[in-house]
Amino acid sequence: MNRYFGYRILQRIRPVLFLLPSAFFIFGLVYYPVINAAIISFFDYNVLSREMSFVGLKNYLFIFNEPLFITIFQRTIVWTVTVVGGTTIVALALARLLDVQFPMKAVVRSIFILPWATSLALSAMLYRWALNSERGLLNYTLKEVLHVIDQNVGWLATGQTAFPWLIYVGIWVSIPFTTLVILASMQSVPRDLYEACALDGASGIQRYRYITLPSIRPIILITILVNFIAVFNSFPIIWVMTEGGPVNETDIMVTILYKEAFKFLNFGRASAVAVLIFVFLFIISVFYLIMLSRQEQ
Amino acid sequence: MRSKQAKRTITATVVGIAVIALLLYILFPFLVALNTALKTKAEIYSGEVYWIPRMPTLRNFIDIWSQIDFARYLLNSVIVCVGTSTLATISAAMAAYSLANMKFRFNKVYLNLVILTQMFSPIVLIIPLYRMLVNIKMSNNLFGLILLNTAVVLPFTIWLAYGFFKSFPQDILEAGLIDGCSGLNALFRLIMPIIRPGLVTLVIYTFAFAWNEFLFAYTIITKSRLKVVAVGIFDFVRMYNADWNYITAALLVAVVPIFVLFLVIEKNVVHGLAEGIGK
Repeated sequence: MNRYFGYRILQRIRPVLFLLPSAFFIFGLVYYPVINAAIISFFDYNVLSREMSFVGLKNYLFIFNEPLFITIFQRTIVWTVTVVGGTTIVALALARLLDVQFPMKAVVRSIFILPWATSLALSAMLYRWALNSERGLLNYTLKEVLHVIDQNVGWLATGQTAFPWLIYVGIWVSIPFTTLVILASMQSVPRDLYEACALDGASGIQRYRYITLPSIRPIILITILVNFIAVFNSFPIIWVMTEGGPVNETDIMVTILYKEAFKFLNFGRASAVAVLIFVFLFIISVFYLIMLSRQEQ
Repeated sequence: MRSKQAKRTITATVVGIAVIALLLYILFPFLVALNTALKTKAEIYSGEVYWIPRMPTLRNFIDIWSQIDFARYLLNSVIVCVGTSTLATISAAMAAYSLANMKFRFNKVYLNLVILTQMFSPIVLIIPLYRMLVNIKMSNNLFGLILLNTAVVLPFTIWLAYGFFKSFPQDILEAGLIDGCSGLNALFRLIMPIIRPGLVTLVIYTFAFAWNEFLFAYTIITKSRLKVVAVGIFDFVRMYNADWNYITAALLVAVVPIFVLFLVIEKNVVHGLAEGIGK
């Protein structure tokens, strides 16, 4: 009787016991810090003297009134939309290509995942060197082999040339994952749909337009959202290649947040930036998901 | 008939050109790095730039172990990766087991809370987490870094694990439980062997995540002897911007292990994801 009772208790609490380790991380090291960041954003917080004084909305008002932040926010949107848009378009084309049989396909596919396996920081360092103005092989190839430029270009020396390259690298690192997810969903489209369509005399393009695209649409729309959040928050590429420079010409929200926090030691203002990033992404995601579910119906 | 043949040749040519273009696009920065890593510093700065090294040498791949503190960085990376992978895989497997195979009123709520964390990126968390670690004197501590990495990688790991556990046949589990297996016993004796490929995926995925994580490792760890590979090489880039023969060699060495691991899990992760999204 007693043992049975103990067993019952164990049955009841067992699910909770198994959730405890993950709950420690998820509540202690994710949810609690988020709330903490929101609180710090209402304080002037000096890291060195560790003094905190409540300032209400001061940090937020500063950000909204500072033209630099407005410019950086706009640039973040351009960065995110071009990287995600470029990735999606290229990934759609490449998924179609990798769906075709060709010799050595396994090898090509293996090489294809290299940018995904290489960390963002390492990829950014590789490109930083490839784009080097005097010793870089990009300038050499463009100048001596292809003859499209007359003299070496300092690609990362001005915002005008650095920013497009950052976007290029952003797309380069995002492509394998996005392509493979789209490819996996393309290959799960029932084959008999295609056969029926072929019997009706549809061309390859028509089959792609009327069967493949509608079938993979949900996956495409979700990868756009996932990529949007990831790219908006992406720190290493820009930090490693330009550190947001020259001056602030390639800064986005996350790099300015980092500078505010760990260069200027302004934790309060940096936390306000963090909260704004979160609120913005949250609103975007909610609207996007509502729009998606409306369209599904 | 003839035109069909011609059409096929055209398709093959187009595909061939596209594949070659794709390979060049992907490999370009690696080929540049390889080119530099095979040259001596004198050759890089000889005033001439060219693709094929005239006197290729593997010296740089030997010298990085003495010129850069590469062995230590590598060891630190391995410690962080093994720690993160162990903590995250165990916590995720336990959580997923509970969520997928046990009856608990708040399972759905918990799973949704887990998924919702994907909205918070590391950059939003960095300031409070940094403060927390400083307060408990665990900044500049590899275990502190392991804890942060685990927290960030865990939600997606739970999500992947949940898929694997969900696919485990419930009736086998129930039969096992009736035969007197305890919860933990059932987990290790019944479920683990069957979902082993899934667990391998979790182990490698979390390992690779920790290997590639940059923001925390760069912010939390400031002592040189505790730095991980990516941060160590980046420091070297900033301090010795001239020694690219070493830097590129180190970069290539740092890419290889994770690339090999990715080859093993790539399909599992992609399918787990495509299916997860599909639902």
